[in-house]
Amino acid sequence: MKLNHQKTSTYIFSVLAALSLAACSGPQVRYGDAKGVETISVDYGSTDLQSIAEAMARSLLQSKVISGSKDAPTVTVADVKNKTSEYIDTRVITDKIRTQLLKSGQVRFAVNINEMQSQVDELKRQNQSGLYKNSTVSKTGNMQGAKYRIEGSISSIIKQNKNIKDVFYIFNLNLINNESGLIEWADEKEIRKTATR
Amino acid sequence: MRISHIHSVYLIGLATLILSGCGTPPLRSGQTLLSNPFAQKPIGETIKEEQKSIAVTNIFYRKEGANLKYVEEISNKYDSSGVPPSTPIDLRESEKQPSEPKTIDNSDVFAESQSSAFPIKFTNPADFKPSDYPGIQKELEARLGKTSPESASNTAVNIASQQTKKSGFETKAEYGQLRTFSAAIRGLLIKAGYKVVQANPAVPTSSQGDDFFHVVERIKAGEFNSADYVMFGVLGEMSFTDNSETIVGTKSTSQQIGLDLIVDFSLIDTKTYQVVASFLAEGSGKEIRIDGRGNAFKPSMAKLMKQASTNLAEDVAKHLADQNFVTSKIAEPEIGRNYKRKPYDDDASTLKIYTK
Repeated sequence: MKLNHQKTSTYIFSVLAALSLAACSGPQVRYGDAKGVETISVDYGSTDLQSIAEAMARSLLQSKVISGSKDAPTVTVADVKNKTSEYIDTRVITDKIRTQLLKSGQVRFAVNINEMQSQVDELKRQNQSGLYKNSTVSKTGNMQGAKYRIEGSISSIIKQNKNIKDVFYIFNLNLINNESGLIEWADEKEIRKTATR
Repeated sequence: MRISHIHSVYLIGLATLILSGCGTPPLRSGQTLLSNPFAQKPIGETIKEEQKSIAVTNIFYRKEGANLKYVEEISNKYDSSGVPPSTPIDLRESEKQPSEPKTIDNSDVFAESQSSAFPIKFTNPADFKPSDYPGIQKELEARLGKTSPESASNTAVNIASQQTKKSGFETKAEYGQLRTFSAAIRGLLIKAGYKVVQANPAVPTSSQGDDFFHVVERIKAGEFNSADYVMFGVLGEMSFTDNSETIVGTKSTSQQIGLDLIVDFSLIDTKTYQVVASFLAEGSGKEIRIDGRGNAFKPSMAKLMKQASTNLAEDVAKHLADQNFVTSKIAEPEIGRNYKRKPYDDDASTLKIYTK
């Protein structure tokens, strides 16, 4: 009888120890689907980013300018203006579009204005330091100018009352011929998100 | 019966021969039925086949310079018994006006001319005082036999004086040849398979005029060693530029040093003096230095000249091809292969390691 009581107390003690250890270990971490739909709030989120980039890249690749071009045209990414009241890193959108376009192999991208400093520094290092073999140096003055530039904007309209908050995003993108100034392609992506209490 | 059969065979054979003579020859591959005027054989091909030769001259130039000139003259007339006839006194040889310290050129550009657009005449004798001009004073004393100004003033002499001031630009022309820029053109023609012969250098004379560019006279004088064609180039303009610009999006500046030249080329048939090809070719050499202005960068003129020369030869080749003189093979730069890559058909979101 005494032995049984001792066994029971040992069991209870070990369960308590396990519970206390579990309590000290912190939040649980798990990997989720990066492309899964995120509906935590009506604010701009990863699903919006993905849907905008995918829609724009697909539309651009189907455009006559790109699909009808004999060679892969050279494009650069200009500014995408954030006209919403939220903080949105628009470079992430353009980078994602650029990645998808590059992966298609139908477009070539020239470095954009934000990447110019590193490009200039590299050319200066190779051409002017005197450290490099002449035949292997990437010569100054041979950068390729982009035939087209991509620029656009993202805007939002927000309406809310006690129970409902409605956010409407509109993202538009233009492909402009740098030489002629003609807008060769344009498309837009609209997103509506509504949150109810 | 036997004879008529032989006759008929003979007649059929004869008719076939006549018909074949009247018929058009069969077309070879690549030949079209209609004659295409644009499908003519390039003249260069003909030259190549006939082993004709081309002489490429150095690039002729005429350099003009203008200098501002100012000439001042004064002439006097003396009306007095025993006084010799008036002779003009040139202030250039005497002293300048004390009140006007102007430069007086000693050249004879305007000296021979007696007319002037703005002659200044002393109509009032009171305006002219010989004592203001020591040179004239001395000459007056010598001619009148007087020794002092006082005695000169006591003599009754009528003096008419005329002063002339002239100014303008004097242009000077220098003729010569640029030797650096033709070698690449010769090389290009040799590369294309043509026989290039050396042209004699043209030496300008001391009083050279625009006949320096008279190429037909040079051909007649045999300066091109009996070449069949002469490629004659005259420099239109040559400029050296040095510009600095900020590079947008960076903290750096770009210094661009350039050498540009325009040459007027004519390709002349030495037998008929016909101009076979004529064009304006451009050559430019460029050196770019990032942040060069701040570091007082000095460009290499040799490098710029080589670039300009090569660039000029490429442009010449392009024009010669346009005007059907050479085949376009040497004129066209190498075209890079189509960039189009095979798009990735797998999902890049998962890491893959490829081994050979």
